[in-house]
Order: sequence, then C-alpha cells, then structure tokens
Amino acid sequence: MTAHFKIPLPVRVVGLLTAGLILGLVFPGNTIVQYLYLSGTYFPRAVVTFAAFLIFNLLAAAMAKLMLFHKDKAGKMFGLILSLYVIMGAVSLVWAAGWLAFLSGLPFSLPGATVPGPAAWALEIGRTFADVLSQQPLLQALAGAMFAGWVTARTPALNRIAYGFIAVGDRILWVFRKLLWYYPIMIGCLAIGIPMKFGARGIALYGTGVLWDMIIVCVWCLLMILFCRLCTRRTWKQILSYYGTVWPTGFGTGGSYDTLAVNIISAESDLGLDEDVAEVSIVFGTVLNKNCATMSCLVVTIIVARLLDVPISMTEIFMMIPPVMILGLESPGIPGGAGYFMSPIIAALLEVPDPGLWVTTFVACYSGLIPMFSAAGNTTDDGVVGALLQDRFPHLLGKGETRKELPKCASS
Amino acid sequence: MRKLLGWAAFVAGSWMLVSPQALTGLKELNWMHNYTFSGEVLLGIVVIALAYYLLDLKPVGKAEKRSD
Repeated sequence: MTAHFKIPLPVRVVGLLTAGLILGLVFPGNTIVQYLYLSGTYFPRAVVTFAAFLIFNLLAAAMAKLMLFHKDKAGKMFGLILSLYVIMGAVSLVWAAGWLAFLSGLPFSLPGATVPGPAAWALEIGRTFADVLSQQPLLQALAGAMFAGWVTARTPALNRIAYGFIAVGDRILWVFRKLLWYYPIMIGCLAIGIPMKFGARGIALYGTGVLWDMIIVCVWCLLMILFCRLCTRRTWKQILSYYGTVWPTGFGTGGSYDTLAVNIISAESDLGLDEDVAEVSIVFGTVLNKNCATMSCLVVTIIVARLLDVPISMTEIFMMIPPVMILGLESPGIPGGAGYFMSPIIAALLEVPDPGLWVTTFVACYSGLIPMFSAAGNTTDDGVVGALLQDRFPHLLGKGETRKELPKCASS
Repeated sequence: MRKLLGWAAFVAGSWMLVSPQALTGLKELNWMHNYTFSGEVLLGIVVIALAYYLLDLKPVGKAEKRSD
C-alpha cells in the first residue's frame, strides 16, 4: 500500500530543490531558513574532509573489480570494451568543452595571462597538472588508487589487498545508499543558499546550467543515434525503439544502476543485440561509463565558478579533462554521486579559496534535471557500444561475420 | 594479533589520507591538519594497503567469480 504511494526519488529531489529555491528567494533573511541551509552543508563538508579516503577506496575498488571480475565476463573483448568506453569518455569531454567554449563565451586563458601557441598551451596544461598532482592530496589519492587497484588485482600475492579495497568500497557505497532518503532533503536545504547568497542571479545561472546541459547531452544523444545507424546494422526502428524505452527510463530514475534491468532487456528485444553482447556491454557500461555525467560536471563547474567568482578559462576546463575522465570510472552508482566525488577534485584543480563552499554549491547545482539528463545519456550510450561490438567486431564474438557486409563507416 | 595490527594500520592509514585535506571541509576537524607532513598521502596508501592485507576483508553483497 505504502509502496503504491511512494514518491520516486527524482520527483522528491526536483520538488525539494524547487521548494528550497523559493524559500531562499522569498525569505533570505529568515533565521530558520538560514539554519535549514546550514544543516544541509554539513554532509557535503564531511565528504570534503574525508574525500581522499573515500575517493581512494572507491576508485581502487572499481579498478580492482574491473580486473578481477569483469575481465572474465568480457573475455577477449575486455581490452576493446575498455578502450571504447575510455575513448568515448575522452571524446565526450572534448565535445562538452567545445560546446562550453561556444555557449559560455569563456576566454581561452585568464585575463593578464599571455596567450600561448597550441603547443605551449598544451605544455602549460601538463605542467600545471603535474604541479597540482605533486601538491594536492586528493590528486595523489586519485592516482594512487588507480595504481594500487591495478597492481593488487594483477598480482595474485596481493589479491587480498584488492579484496580489501572492494570490501571497503562496498561498505562506503552501502552507507551512501542508506542515506539516499536524506539526499532530496539535503538538496532542498542547499538550494536555499543559491538565491540566499546570490539572489535571482543564482537561480538564473542554475537555469542556464540546466539549459547548457540539456543542449550538450541531447545533441550528443542525437549524434549517437546517427552514429549507431551509420556504423552498425541496426535499423531506425530498432534504434528508436531502444532509445524510446531506455532514454526516458534513465531520465526518470536519474541513475544508471536503476536503469540496468530495462537497459539489458531493451538492448536484446528492441536493439536486437545477442544476449551475451547485451549483458557484457550494458553491465560493463553501467559500471564504467559515466561520460554524460562528466560532461555535466564541466557545465556545473563553469556555473559554480561564476557564482563564486572563481576565475576560470578554457585552459582550466581542458586541464580538468584527464582527472574528470578518470573519476568517470569511479561509478558511485548513486543519483547525483558524481557531484559528491568530483567536486572536491575540481576544487583542488582550480585552487578555489573555500573548497567547502565550492562543494556545497556544486552539489546543489548538480541536482534536479542535470543528473537525469546524464543518466539518460550514459545508459543509451552503453547500447550503442554494444551494437558497435556486435556488428563491427563479430570475429571477437566468434560469429564469423565479416565487416564487408556492413555499411561504410569512417571509423572502421 | 594480526587483526589488531590490521585495524591499527587501517586507522593510521585512514588518518594519513584524511589529515592533509582536513583544512577544508568541516571546521570542527581542521585541527587534524596540524599534524600533517610531506608525502603523507603516499605513505597512507602503503599503510592502508598493508592494513587490508592483514585484515583479509571479504567483499559484501553477492559473490562474484574472479577471472584468470
């Protein structure tokens, strides 16, 4: 009976987000409203304090799981699938950066800085990234997690450590999932701060962020549909049936894991993928592929930087691509999780004066419609990768088909 | 004894990961940053790995078959 009337999480998030924005706009000086906002800041600030521990364990666990469990499931295709998702992650971040240069009008470099040539610019990004890596504990934890997870999973004598990472990572996620009921309340409280601190300009910037995210993710999805039609043997009917089923489900749930079952079923029944291909590509993608979430993080970064008057240019945006791409593999699997775990790293990269305020504002802005667009894009991308695997690499699946039968594609 | 050492290493390693970042986030825990030292995170990673080796933790949730 109660389950029948249960309000879905995304609806609660959007509802309380709206309520928070209205409260902050109408009663910015009210003491109770100010305390409500303050109460919402404690959880994200605690995440910032423990960020290195959390990110290290989660990323090391994800890497260890990948090597220990999923490598077997993906078999010979392991390297190919991994490469496809990593390439897609990189391309989508460059795609988002390109759009943001156009939509936001950010300068190429900060005012006062000399404008370097392309090579010097790339060198500057690398140098800055190396400096930050050597000085920032969070970046060290990030790189250390990748290395530790990989080494301990690859070395049989150290597998006990890899299982330790997985166990602790599982327990961290268990705690976060147990706190999911609090997530909409926290978003509502944090949303108060946007108009309270930044007035109507704050709400306008949040709306701008949603609009940019919608444009970037939706046009990306349209291109993926076109890519799927041109580079695989899927028909328009199959592709549109798949997108018609999975995209709204991903959008509605706001989480890849919540969409997993529907995604696998639709990939088989609508997109026409073989059972083994669908399971490998969709399961693997759900764990590994957060490309649209990383695109959204770039969007929210610019919005929050403008809200807090943090100087930012396209140079900083490009500098963020490698660590954000790595964080895309972390896959916390909770709605809006990317906001929690990526924002402290981004704060470190941008050297913001108050990381706590940055994270609380970032978590508030990375909510509502933004994670919903991200989940819709992430989940449908997994099906396209599955179709590409089945139709372009049949020899790896032992199907004996040749690529000559396929329509021409530039990528092949 | 092994477990005890493991938990001690876990606490020490976790501290080393958290304290360099403690100046940000919760103001109530800013004091942790007073005890930080250079290269603490990297040492913390080694200590926490040692802790997991000693503790021999098992993943929660459904058992997954390992590869190779």
